[in-house]
Formats: sequence, C-alpha cells, structure tokens
Amino acid sequence: MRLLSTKILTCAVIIGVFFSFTRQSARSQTAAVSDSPQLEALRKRGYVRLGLSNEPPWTVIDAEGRTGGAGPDLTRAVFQRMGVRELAGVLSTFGALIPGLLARRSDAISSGLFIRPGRCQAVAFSEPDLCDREALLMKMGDHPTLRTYRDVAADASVRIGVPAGGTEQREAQAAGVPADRLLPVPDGPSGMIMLRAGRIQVYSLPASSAQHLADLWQGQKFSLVLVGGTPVMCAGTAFRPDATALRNAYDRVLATLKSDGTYDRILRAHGFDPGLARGHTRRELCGEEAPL
Amino acid sequence: MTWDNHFIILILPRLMKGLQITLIATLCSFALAASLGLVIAILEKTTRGIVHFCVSGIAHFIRGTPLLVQLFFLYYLLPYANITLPALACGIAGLGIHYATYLSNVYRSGIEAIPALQWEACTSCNLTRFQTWRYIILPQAIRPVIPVIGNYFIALIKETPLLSSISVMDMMGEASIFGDMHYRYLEPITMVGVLFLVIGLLARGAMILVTTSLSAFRLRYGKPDNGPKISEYSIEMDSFRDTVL
Amino acid sequence: MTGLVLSDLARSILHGLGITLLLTLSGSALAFVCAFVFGLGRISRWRSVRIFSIVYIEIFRGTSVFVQVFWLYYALPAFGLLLSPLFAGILGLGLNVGAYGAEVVRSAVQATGQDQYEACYALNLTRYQSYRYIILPQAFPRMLPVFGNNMVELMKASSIVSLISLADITFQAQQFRIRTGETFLPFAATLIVYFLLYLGILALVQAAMRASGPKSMKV
Repeated sequence: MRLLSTKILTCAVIIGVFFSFTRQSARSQTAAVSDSPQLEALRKRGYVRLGLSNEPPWTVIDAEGRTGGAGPDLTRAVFQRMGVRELAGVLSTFGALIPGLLARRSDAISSGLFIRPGRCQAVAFSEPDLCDREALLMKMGDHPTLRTYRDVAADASVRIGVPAGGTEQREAQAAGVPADRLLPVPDGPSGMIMLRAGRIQVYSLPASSAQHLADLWQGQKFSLVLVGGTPVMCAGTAFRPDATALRNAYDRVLATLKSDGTYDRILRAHGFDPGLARGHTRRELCGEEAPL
Repeated sequence: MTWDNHFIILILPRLMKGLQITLIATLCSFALAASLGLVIAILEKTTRGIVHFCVSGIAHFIRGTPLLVQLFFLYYLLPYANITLPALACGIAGLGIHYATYLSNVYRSGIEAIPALQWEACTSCNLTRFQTWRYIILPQAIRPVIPVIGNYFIALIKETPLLSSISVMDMMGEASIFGDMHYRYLEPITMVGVLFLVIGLLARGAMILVTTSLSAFRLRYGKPDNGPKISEYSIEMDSFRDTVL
Repeated sequence: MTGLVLSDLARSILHGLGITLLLTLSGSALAFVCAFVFGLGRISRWRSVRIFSIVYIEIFRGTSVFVQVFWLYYALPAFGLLLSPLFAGILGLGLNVGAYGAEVVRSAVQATGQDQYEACYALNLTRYQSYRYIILPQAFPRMLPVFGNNMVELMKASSIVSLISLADITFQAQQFRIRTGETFLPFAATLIVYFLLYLGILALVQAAMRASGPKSMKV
C-alpha cells in the first residue's frame, strides 16, 4: 500500500515538472509585448540564433563553417549595431525555416524569405532588404517557349522543380501546375542534377541563386530566363509573431544602415541591387491583410 | 504554437494519399529484399575464393552504411551512368537491396542449421544441385526463420520515411510538404507517428497470425516440429562470424 | 585545384566525424541503459512498471527513428521543452535503439534456464542477488552480438540528424555539395567513412565477445 502511494506521488511530481515547463514557455510568449526585453535577452546572451538555408549568394557557408552571404552579412551588421555581437547559424532546409523559427529553434530568419501575404500572417517581417526576380533554369535549347508558370502548367510533358516550401512552389501551384509535375527540390546541386538527368525539365528559383548555379556548372549548357508576369520579389528578415518589438528595433537600425551606405556596400558585395528594395515597403508587399 | 485539431482534418486526406505510397514502397521493397536476400545467401554458400569475398564484401558494405546516403547515391548519381529511375523506384531499390543484405543473414542461418546428413542424402540420391536446393534444403531452411523474416518486415515499414528525402511523396513526404506550406510540423509529424504505430501494430498482429497458423499446420499434419530451432541470437552471431574483411 | 578540393572535403568530413562519433557513443550509452531498465522492467513483478515499459517499447519501436528525431526537434518545443539539437539527436537515437535493446535483454534473460532460477531460490538469494550474480552474467554474452548490431544500426541512423541541423558527416557532405557542386566525391567519401566506423564497431563487439569467454558463447 505504501509502495503504491509512493509511486503515485512520483508520477504526480513528474507530471508537475512537465507542466511547469509548459506554463513557463506560455508565460515567456506573452511577456515580450512591451519594449523589446527580447533584445535585452539577446544582448545578455551575446549572440543571435539565425535560421539559415544554404543557398548562395543569399547565404554562403564556407569550408570553415563561417556564415556569410548577403542575408547573414546584413543581419549581422544590423544586430551588431543593436549590441548583439555574434551570430550563430541554424542551418535547415528552406521549407523548415519558418517552422523552425516558430518552434523557437532560431530567433530570426536571415533574409531570403520573400515577403508574401500568406507569410506575413505567420511571421513578423522586417522592412524589405533583398530583392530579386524569379527565374527558370533549363537545359540550353530545351523548351525555348517556356516563360511563365502558366506555360509550364499548359505543357503536360514538363515537370518543374521548386525549392520545397518556397514562393515558387505556391506560384506554380496557383498557376495550375498539378502536384505530380511539381517536384520539391532540397538544394541547388540536387536541382541541377535532377535537371541534367531529366527528372525535371525546368528548375525555378530566385534569379541570383540560378545565376550562381549556372556559373558553378559552367561546363554544361543551361539557359536562364526570368519568369514573366511575376513582380520583383523582396525578402525581409523574419521574426517570431510575438517579437514585433524586436523587429521594430531591427527596422530602425536597418533604416540607418540604408541611409549611411553600409547597406549598399553589403548588397553590392554579393551582387544584389540596393536600389530595388527602396521602392517597396512591408505594408505594400503584405497585401490586403494587416501584417504582423 | 499549440495543438490545433483543424490541421488534422486538413492533413488527413493527404496522409492517406501518402499512406498508399508507403504501402506500395513497403511491399515492393520487401518482395525485392526477400528474393534478393535468398540469392545472396545461396551465392555466399555456393561460391569460393574471390567471388565469395566480393559477394560478402559488398553485402557488408551495404549493411554497414546508412540507407539515407545510399538513397542519395541511387537518386542523384545513378543518372550519371545513364540510369534514371523514377524516385519511387530508386527508393524501392535502395530499401530492397539494403534489407536483402539483412535477410541473407537470416536465410544463411536457416541453411546452416540443416544437418550435413541432409546434404549427404541428396548426394546419395543422385539429386542435381538444383533439385537439392529446391526440394530439400530451402523448404527446410526457410520455414523456421519465417518469424525472424517477419520482424525484418516490420522494421522495413519504419524505414520508408527516409524515402521522402529523395522526394518520394510517402506519408512523411506529404507531412513535411504540408508542414513547409503551413509553417507547422507539430500536427503532421505527430499524425505520421500515430499512423506508423497503428500500421506497426497491425503488421505485428498479422505476423502472429502467420506464425501460429504455421505451427497449427504442423500440428494438423502430425509432423512433429523437430527441425532446427533458430533464435535471433544465432543469426546475429552469424553476421559476426565472417567479418574477417 | 583538385588538391584544394580534396583537402577541403577531408576537413569537412573530419569535422563531421566528431559529431557522428559523439552521437554514436552517447546514443549507444543511453540505449544500453534504457535496454536494461526497460528490458528488466518489462518482466518486473509490479504491474505498473511492466505496463510503463511496454508502452515505452511499443511507442519507440512502433514509429520510425526519423519521425521521432524530427518530432523531438520540431514538435516538442510546442509543449514547452526546447532540447538542444545535439541532445534531441542523442535522445531520439538512444531511446529508439534502447527500445529494441530492451526486447533483447528481456528475451536473453528469459532464455536463461528455469533450473537457474530454482537454484537461486534454493540458495535463498534475494532477487537482486540472483539477477546480479547468476542470471545476468549468463544472459549478457547472449545479448552482446545483438547489441553490436544495434550499435551499428544507431551509427547508421545517426545520418538522419543531418536533417535537424546537426553537423554530422552526412550534413558536412551536403554543405560541401552546395559549396562546390561536386556530388560523387562527398557521397563516396561519406560511405567509406561510415563503412570504416562499421568495421570498427564489429571489431569492438568481437573483442567484447572474446573477453566474455568462449564457453558462454554457446547459445
């Protein structure tokens, strides 16, 4: 009898410990509405965990494991001005970036996520910083008439590869490409091999990434066309929905970087056009519904 | 982020679609594993010298390296040799070959448990090699290892999610695409886990039925089960025996 | 040029090897503990302990290790528990393989002859004494080869942690691919390194089997 009660007590303690964990996280989720205690916490910790997906030139990881590329370099510059010195990369596939952020695996996602209405409801974007067009990569001379996702949808012999979870996937879906001709691609080299092997006929991704891959595979002939009928896409740094205060602080520093020339220098170093983002705002890119 | 039942309803139809692929992949790769495994076991038994060394060396290599990387190899590198299989076929081939090397061990234990007397009897009855294997050795070798083969079948089911990494749209593939598009993995992955639990339990039940009906068969036809008893240990022991690579 | 690429690859793989080894060793240690705790728990006198062990074994054997690691990394934080990637990886691998090990421990203990238990009873040994000095020393050599195979399985399964941003061998090979566009080289090197690890584990287990004495090798 006494044994039984001891066991029940132990169970109760274990359950209690578990729930106290759960409660604590719930409290920390609601606590940060006022003026960025999150930034204070990051400063104290000394580094920010940045969600990354390895896709040059947006994000470049070198042989030593150092993080570079347009997105992280810009984010690093902003956070350094905010008093957070170090940057710890959390690498994942592109599609896992937002789920990882929401699961608290990272504090922010390095620029590379295009600011689109659907995403604006899931994460808090900074003002746009890196802009690019969508492109189609294909074997030279193959399907010379393909220009838009609608063309892809109309030609039943064409399978299109898209970054899993990327804007391209949604756009192609919206244009009517059926699921069996829409293949998720985990990373650039895989996409190129799939293209070469004929698993896909077209590989759609941002123009700068496409250009990088075409250069890397310079021995083989690939042609690159910009997708017709889609606007210039602008990406921003993404924060958790409860971290709008941190995001606002980030925006203020980003604005000063844009005016003092640091922003232009970083973007030019990685081949991005600093002029493009200046024409856009988060409010406009997020569309009808109010962004977070 | 908290649990949201709304997503369950959204994702269930897609998971059911993925379930079909999972089942196809499981059954096809198991069929491949079961037959190829037997071939490897017979080859290992009947060859000598350099051929034997190659066969068991390759089997060890496949058994000793991760299926994930093998799948990458089949999917991304086989096209360089002008062999471009569809994703599902790559997955089935990878899974089937990987498990064939496990099953060859199981078959071999069954074969080696057969007393030398049986082989000698075959020789004295003037049976051809084919007849010996087909009518005498294999029927006796396979029956006692069927429960162990069943265990490997259940293990194989649970390896299928790896196929999603080469863009096969099995349950895991559907779940992760759904997660990518709706920014949450909590419900999709949990549901996949629950479904695997159910499938695993069903498969286990089916295995128990098969084994009991096998022993019932023996009882009914009055054949005392005096064949070799083969435990999991003796098979595992065997897999270590020839590792003098 | 190629020399540079090769040394880059070797460095990447070496970096990854550390994580893979760490995962394999600590995962195996956890699996070993789980195997004994839950394997003996499965045949415990107390009903609640038995049920708890069975639930653990069924859940972790019943779902894929891939799903489990993914769940620990992405879904568990929703319940307020944020494990570091390394800890999530070790926990996922260890708990999964531990569940398989528990069944090994149980069947090895149960395979010990009834006469041994009766002898313990006759000698008036306590339950702890009979397991510690009589049953387990006989059952352990029977478990060893299966544990060896489980360790190999764990080492191979560790390649999936590359999907939860742990920089193991497979992860490093993937990053190398993205950096250089080479595919054959990193994958081939990865396979070879895993195979060497496999041979290492086999040698380890064989040494352990030899150490546990030739007469106890009989099954």
